[in-house]
Amino acid sequence: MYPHERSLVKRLADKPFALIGVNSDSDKDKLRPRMIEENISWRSFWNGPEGTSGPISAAWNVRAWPTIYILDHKGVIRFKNKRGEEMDKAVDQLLAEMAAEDR
Amino acid sequence: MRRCLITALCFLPGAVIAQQDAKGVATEAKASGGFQSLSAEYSAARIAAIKAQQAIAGSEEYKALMEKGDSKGAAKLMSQAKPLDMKPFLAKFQAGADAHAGTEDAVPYLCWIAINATKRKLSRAAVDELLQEHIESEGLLTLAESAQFLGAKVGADRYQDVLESLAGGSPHDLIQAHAIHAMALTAMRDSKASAEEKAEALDLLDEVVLLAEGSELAISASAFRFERERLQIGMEAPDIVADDLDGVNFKLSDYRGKVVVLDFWGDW
Repeated sequence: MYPHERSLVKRLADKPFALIGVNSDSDKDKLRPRMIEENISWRSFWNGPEGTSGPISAAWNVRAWPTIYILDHKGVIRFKNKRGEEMDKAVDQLLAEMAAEDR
Repeated sequence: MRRCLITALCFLPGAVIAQQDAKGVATEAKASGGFQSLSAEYSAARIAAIKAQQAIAGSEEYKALMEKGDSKGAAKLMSQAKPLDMKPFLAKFQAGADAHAGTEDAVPYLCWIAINATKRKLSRAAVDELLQEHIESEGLLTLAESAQFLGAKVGADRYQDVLESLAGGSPHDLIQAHAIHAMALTAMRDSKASAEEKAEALDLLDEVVLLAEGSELAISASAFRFERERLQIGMEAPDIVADDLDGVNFKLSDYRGKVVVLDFWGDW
């Protein structure tokens, strides 16, 4: 899944868009070299040392990974669990909505 | 006091025999050393059955059939792996329940039958006996923890009654909580339930959280409620305030004004 997310971030680099992660790895030291290897540039909250039982995923009732929420520029939840091409489409739609409002 | 004594004795093989002699019955379940070892025996048989299936699924012959698209042939080959025969186990657990009938020691056997029986009649009989004879037992927690799956075991027509008996009859908070939780989930998943009924069901989760305070169940009930009330499409996302991977604190709402993909991920 990293390649898709990498290309999305790259394609929308100059758009009002952000990919924000909530990382649920319990060991940050093991994760760091992996992030360099995989060129993971986006910012992530850390779910804490309890990993998948951490506080953020618990509060958001996340039971499956990955879980994805797509928010519009007002912070409203607009889509859930869209992956791959569907994720691209959803993001493009929200960016277009935003541009139309600005006009 | 007598009950405690029997519980203690059951862990001593010698004493079990003495007890058998006293009662004049010798059952296979007792001879095999009580609930724990019977349960272990069942788990081992189950794992063996799964492994047999996996072995066939991994064989060249099976792969070749699948590649050819011969699903009939593949299914036939798979049927050579014998499924676990539940009958002897059900008989053994039933024998255990009968040998301890009327005492606390019957509870784990009956719970096992209620949850694992493949025939509705058997599950119902075990559940009925538990509710009628052992409603105050803390051992009913095993049954309560499986409350979500009991509907399929006892049948939809009995399910609500069973949950209500547990919720209303058990003196133990956690058992009540599990039963109420299952009621709430059933109502929320019921396509025929009105919006009002669903809202009531959501309120039941508050009761679960109070009753089960500090338990995993309370955490999952409150998270479930939060998701229903705050994380639906069209709702403003709740803020997240936490550290990033470099230890720098930030907020999800810092990104207001941008389209955001929030991705719960892990490198595994």
